[in-house]
Amino acid sequence: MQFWCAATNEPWNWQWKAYVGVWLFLVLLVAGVMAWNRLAARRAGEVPPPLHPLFLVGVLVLWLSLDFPMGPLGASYLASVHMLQFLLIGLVAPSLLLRGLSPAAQAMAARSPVLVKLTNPFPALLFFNVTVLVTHLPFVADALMPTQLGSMLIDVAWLVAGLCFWWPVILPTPARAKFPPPVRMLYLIGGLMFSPIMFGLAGFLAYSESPMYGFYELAPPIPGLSARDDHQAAGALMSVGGAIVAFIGISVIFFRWSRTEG
Amino acid sequence: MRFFSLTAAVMAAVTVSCARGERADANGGDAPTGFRGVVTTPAREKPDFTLADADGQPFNFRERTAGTVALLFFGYTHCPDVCPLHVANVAAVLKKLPFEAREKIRFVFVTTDPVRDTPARIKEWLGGFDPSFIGLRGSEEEVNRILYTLRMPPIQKAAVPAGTAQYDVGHAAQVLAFGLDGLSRLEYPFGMRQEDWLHDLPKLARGELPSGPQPSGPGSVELAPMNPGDAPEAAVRVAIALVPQPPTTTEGALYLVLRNGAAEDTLVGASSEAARAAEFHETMPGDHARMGHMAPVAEVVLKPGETLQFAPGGRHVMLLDFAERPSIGDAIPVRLRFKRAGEVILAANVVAYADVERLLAAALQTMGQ
Repeated sequence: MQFWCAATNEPWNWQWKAYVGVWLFLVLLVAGVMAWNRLAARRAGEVPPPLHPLFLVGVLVLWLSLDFPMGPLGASYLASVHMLQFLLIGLVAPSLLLRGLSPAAQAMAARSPVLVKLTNPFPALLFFNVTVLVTHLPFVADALMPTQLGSMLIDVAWLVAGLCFWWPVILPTPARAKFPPPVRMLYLIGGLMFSPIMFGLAGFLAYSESPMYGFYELAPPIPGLSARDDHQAAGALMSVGGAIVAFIGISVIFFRWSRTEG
Repeated sequence: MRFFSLTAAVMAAVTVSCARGERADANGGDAPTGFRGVVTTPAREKPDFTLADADGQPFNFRERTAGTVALLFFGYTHCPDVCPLHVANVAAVLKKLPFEAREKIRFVFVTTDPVRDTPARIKEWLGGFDPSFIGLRGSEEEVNRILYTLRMPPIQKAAVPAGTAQYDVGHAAQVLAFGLDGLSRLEYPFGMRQEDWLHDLPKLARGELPSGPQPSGPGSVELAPMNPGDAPEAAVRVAIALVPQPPTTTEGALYLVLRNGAAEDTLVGASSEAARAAEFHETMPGDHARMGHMAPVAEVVLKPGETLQFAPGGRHVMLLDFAERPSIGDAIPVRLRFKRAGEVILAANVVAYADVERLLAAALQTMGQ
């Protein structure tokens, strides 16, 4: 039994496998957010609010991306599934998970100077893009992905970077006067929709002469899908997926903004 | 402004890094031989055998591949990992080569599983990768004789219960490359990437041969046949010897994969002209009382037929006080002394530490592990 999904060098099969680390991680995440909300409510003299349903959807997205079958497929066999995991863990799940923080918990977090700096739009954008870049560099991914710890490190790095990236867009605290809705939309356009990092990586994945990642090139093959097709699919997913997530985010911001302005 | 400078720097990094991934050959990633394939000495002569092709017609390997680069691979179509990867990678690379180079290359697949690999099955399977690939089929005895001639391990098949269709077949995992002169000086173990093939195949098609220091001596030369019934008593076979580039001249580790022959032997010493001394060490795990540490090992016993790996985190040969810091791509001469097999001289390739695990795993696959 593996703690976290990582390469086994065995041919792929659909037999269910347990990944205890994933379950433990999700339980700790839910428990951690609940404890944080409760503590913040107690300090503010409020009643702890129930968990936001979107937070639970975020946990579900995270669970689907990390556990069987997407977890092992992405961690051991297919770069395209790995990319889908990146989109879900780094982009989709964080935007939903942040909804789990109550206003009191956000206010408590805003007292931490490190967190305030990390969730400032520009540092957050930079941190997110550097994390995306580093975790997708061939020599980094090829070195980390074969081990459970390395694979977990990449997943956690995506989640943390995604949380920092989405924080200023989704949460009102700490208040940022210079980050109104139009700027937020530009932030998503520059950071996701037309991100030079994501576009660059997607281009290399799709058009490089030979497969970018040795780890996936030499993984036990999935019948009917060549390493080249797999890498091209990964490139397409990265560019299109990022744009779709950004588009949804921009739409939500726009309609909320138009409601308040109207 | 600082943000945009940082973004520009990050973009420059991705460009360099990804370009490096594509053009590793331009960055000194070559072995000193000028090829990415593993040099085998002495060169293997192209075997003269005739088997049936996928249309049931006789195919003489030596005659029909004369004047071409012949890539010879022994595998089976139900293979879950090594075979489809090798075949897919060669097929993908051939599509990228110019017509003149491609026309000079033949890929010949010999099945090690003639029971399930019918001519139709071979044709369909190979055709899925590249219709020009040649599939050959013979009896297990015939194929084992060819393997024996090529100093490669025979087909290894566990007893299969009657009526069972799902079973694995053990086979050599390397592709042999016969040059235009009909000799095979290079082999490509599992772990070779498309960029490696893309680097070597055009050179082979132009008739270029590996150059530079090459291993010699009984360890790497006496690639003993693995069939104890037919073979003379086997010596020690060294599949790979690697030295991750040490950060200083003070010390460096040598990692190996070797297989013992039919009789028990003992590795009693090592030396290298490139270093003042060589010692056997073993990494010992730490416990509550003591931190993890290296412990010297006087000798290493090899059981008959045993495959032994000297790998990071375990046993290794510690090379002390290099005359100069080895560079990636260098070949360091190393002498291993065995009680029974005597002295084995080999050339250890200096590689990046990050490549060690992959290359050792590839060598183990080649040994049929």
